Amino acid sequence: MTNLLDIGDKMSEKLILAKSKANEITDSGACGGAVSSIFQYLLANEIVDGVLTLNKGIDVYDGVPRLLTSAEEVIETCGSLHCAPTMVSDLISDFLADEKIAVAVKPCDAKAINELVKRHRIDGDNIITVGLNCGGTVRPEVAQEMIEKFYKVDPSKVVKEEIDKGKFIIELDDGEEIGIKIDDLEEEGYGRRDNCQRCELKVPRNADIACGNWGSEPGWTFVEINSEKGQEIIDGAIVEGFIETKAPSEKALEMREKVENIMIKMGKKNTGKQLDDGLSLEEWEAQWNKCIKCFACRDVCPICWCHECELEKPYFKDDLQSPPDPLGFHGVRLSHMSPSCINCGQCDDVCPMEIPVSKLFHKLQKKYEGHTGYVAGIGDEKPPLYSPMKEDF
Amino acid sequence: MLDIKHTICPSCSVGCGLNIVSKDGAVVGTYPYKRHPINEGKNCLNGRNSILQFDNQIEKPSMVKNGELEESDNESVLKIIKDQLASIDASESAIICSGNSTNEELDKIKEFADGFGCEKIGFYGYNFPNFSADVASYDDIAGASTILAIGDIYRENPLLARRIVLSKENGACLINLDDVEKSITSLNADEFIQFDGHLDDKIDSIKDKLDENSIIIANKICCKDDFALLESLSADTGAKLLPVFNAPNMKGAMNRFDSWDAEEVKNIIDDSKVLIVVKDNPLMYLSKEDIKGKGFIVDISNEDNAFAKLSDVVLPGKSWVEKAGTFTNCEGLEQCFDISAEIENDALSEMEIFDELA
Repeated sequence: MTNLLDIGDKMSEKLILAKSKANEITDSGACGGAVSSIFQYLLANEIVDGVLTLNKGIDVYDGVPRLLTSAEEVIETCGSLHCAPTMVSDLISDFLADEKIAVAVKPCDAKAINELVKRHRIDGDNIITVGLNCGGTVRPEVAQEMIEKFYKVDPSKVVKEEIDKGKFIIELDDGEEIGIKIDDLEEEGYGRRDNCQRCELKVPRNADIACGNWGSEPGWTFVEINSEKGQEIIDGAIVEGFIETKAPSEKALEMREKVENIMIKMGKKNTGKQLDDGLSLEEWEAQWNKCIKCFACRDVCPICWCHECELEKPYFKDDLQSPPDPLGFHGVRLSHMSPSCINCGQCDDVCPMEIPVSKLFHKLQKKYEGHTGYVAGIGDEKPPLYSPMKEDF
Repeated sequence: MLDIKHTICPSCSVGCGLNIVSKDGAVVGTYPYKRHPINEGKNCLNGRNSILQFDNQIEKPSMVKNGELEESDNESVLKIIKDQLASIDASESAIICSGNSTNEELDKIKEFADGFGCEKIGFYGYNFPNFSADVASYDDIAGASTILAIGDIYRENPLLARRIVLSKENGACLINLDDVEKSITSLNADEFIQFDGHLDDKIDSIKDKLDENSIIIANKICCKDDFALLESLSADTGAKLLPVFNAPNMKGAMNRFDSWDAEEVKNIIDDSKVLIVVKDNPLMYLSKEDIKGKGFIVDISNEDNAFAKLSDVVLPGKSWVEKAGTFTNCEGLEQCFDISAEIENDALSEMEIFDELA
């Protein structure tokens, strides 16, 4: 079996700089606007039925998935939203499975889509994944509290935010920019979600293309081409006049690798800190006592999808007044899902009782990864227990 | 076309945000609304399941004959209601509202009642009386030193329980008072006090444990007298009180109308020749015998339930995803929401129905 451990942080050999050829997009899009123009190319040429992307809702803290069906709509969705920890894979598998779509993905979105393709919940031929480099996301309420407390500004004055060079940077409505080191914010219990702090995949090389500003020049998007499909899209967008490209400089490549490695190192360090020095057994017991068995963690999990959930079988039904037996509920989920946990953190996000569910799932996945080499969401293989590698496991 | 839009959860009065996923004119799912300050994308099972109402609902105006709904049209049903109203004195009419309507709809119903002369207008308050004093805010829970929870808040109002969880992490003491043997709230409480029937014999033992840094949260009350005991407990100790209701806008209804208990509703029905019930199911608190054969019943609700079959006519009205308006949550916060799903049907909205009847 291929050692998949390295795939996530191994730079692709097909690296380009790209920019939009439409002025309206370069003016409003992020770093060159290549992503927007690629989406326009895909829609204008009817290569896809729709593009699933993120739209700014009431403000910069509100990201709402939106399906675009015409090239003209793309301009309305330009810009980054780091305070919108969304997950889009289940929207695709549940509601868009029959449509040919392109989707803007963070590395964890791409991991989830990859796992769902393996499980035949998403048809890989029907989907184009346009990856966006991701330094992490911040919970909307945490972001606002953090901005008020450390940046000393009214959160409603923020019109744009960015994670760059180790800082969380905000832009105010009067044009002023303020940046604070993420390390310092996280030291105080703010900053990125715990899962994002533990994430070791910053450039979504598990998507057809991975785009971002690391290693780019002003006005250009750095693009890694990760699949034949990705290459076809880039070639088509050039031929149809939507983007132009050029080679990145050696210096830019070095800079990019350096930035990425620093972030991966931070992720590994945080993984150790959060998972190895995590909760004691007694503390976990107190956490499970809070569980109301509302199934929010199961329902939001992008990988967990059985038509007939074992947990809803009569023998797992509880007396309505009693808390669920953690072995019966979370134990079954752990045995089913933990090998494929992609550390997206959605289960933590939606738990009404603030149980840090993902810390246990991610911890077990890391152990599983250590034993089998299986990295969830990367590559074509299924978890080894269900593969020809079973004998070796 | 896939669409995701914000709304307010209709499953209780906490006031959580919820995203509705619709496709081609049908509600197909929910999606976390993480920007919403009350629940930050967390929703309980009831909230997420609130869209199950679309699996089985009344879509057409209907006449009820021999306990079965027969599809009709808006014009015919409205005419029958108008004829019934014209045939009685206004004092022989009554309107049962509920906390499932928006504030704007409640105002519209009141406007109609005032115009018609109907004085018997109220809602079933699940034993909570009208209560206009200041209530505790959710932020107060975070800073509380002692929380007295009456009922199983953890199971029934999980997003309020979340505030208790966070407060406990800050050192708050949780006392749970309930008439059940055990519950999730009782298992997570530092102290559980079981009572039998009424609260009065337990109040004295609790009094010393509460002070001005305490919160009393109640989602279950046996009778209006018990609530009066809680009000006294709050006044004597300085503890803030937070009644929690099981409908999204019961606070809004309480701000406008009389809160009736089951006996009062029963008497109202007995004394009415025409009864209009808006988005409520009286069979949740009365028996069939309390309702059947008492007068002409207009059910304005799309819920396909046994009460619809006890009624004489049914107008579905609109579901909450089809409405724009405001709900007032249990801490008194009025929250605006827009239409979250465009569903094609020819049902009149409650606003249109009462405009037509006026």
